[in-house]
Amino acid sequence: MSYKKVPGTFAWWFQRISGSFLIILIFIHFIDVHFIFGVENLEYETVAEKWNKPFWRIMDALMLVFGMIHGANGIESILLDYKKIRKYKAYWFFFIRAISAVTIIIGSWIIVTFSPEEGSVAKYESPVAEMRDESGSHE
Amino acid sequence: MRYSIKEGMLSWLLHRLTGIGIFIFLIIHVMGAIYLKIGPEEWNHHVELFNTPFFRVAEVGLMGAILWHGLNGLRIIIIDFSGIRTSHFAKFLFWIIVFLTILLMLPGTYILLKPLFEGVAG
Repeated sequence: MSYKKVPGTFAWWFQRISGSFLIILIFIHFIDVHFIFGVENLEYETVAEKWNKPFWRIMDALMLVFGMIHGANGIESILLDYKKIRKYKAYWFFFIRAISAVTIIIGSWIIVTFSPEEGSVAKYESPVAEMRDESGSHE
Repeated sequence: MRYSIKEGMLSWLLHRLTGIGIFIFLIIHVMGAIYLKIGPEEWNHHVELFNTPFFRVAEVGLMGAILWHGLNGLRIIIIDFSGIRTSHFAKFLFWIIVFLTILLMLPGTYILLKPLFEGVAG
């Protein structure tokens, strides 16, 4: 296939693949946070309970990395439509990628190093979480 | 642009606007999560914000933007990989995702805004 010669081919493929993953990841995330928990039940203990399972940390990390690179990729393709910006492409791309990288680093740091304060998970007694555990929706 | 029709123009513009919006939201969203590292009280205070009427309405907008962007992205993927390059097909898919966005928005909006009318939020 001839697409290998066209610049931006990787970005094109990445955008479609990461986009497909993000549809699934964000769909689950939005339903979980807004409909299963509800924004009124997002206390520290809720997060501690959720991130007690490595599965959810991996899901959130995937969402973070795919989301930020997908976003940076998208912003770059918008910027390329403007002649004046194309002239200083390198600087703009560096700026966008730096923002994206810093967000990924901070987000990963939170996801990896978060360890709930003593007793946070144990004292958690929300009926919502019990429902989730009983229905086995965690794994 | 591959298909220069009104619907194509509109979906192209909406895709960019929602994309930029979601990107900015995501950065703020991750920065907000820093409160998890600061401490339980600080985090709990931070998430109280999302339960205010303003944020509940904003969440409906966020849901709409994400739904539109995701479904339109799917439309682009279908157009790219199906090989069907007619504007009729692109238009047809456009109206399907308009329908799907509205359809999914209805229960979502109901669930997000219900507490406002029950006086729970705020």
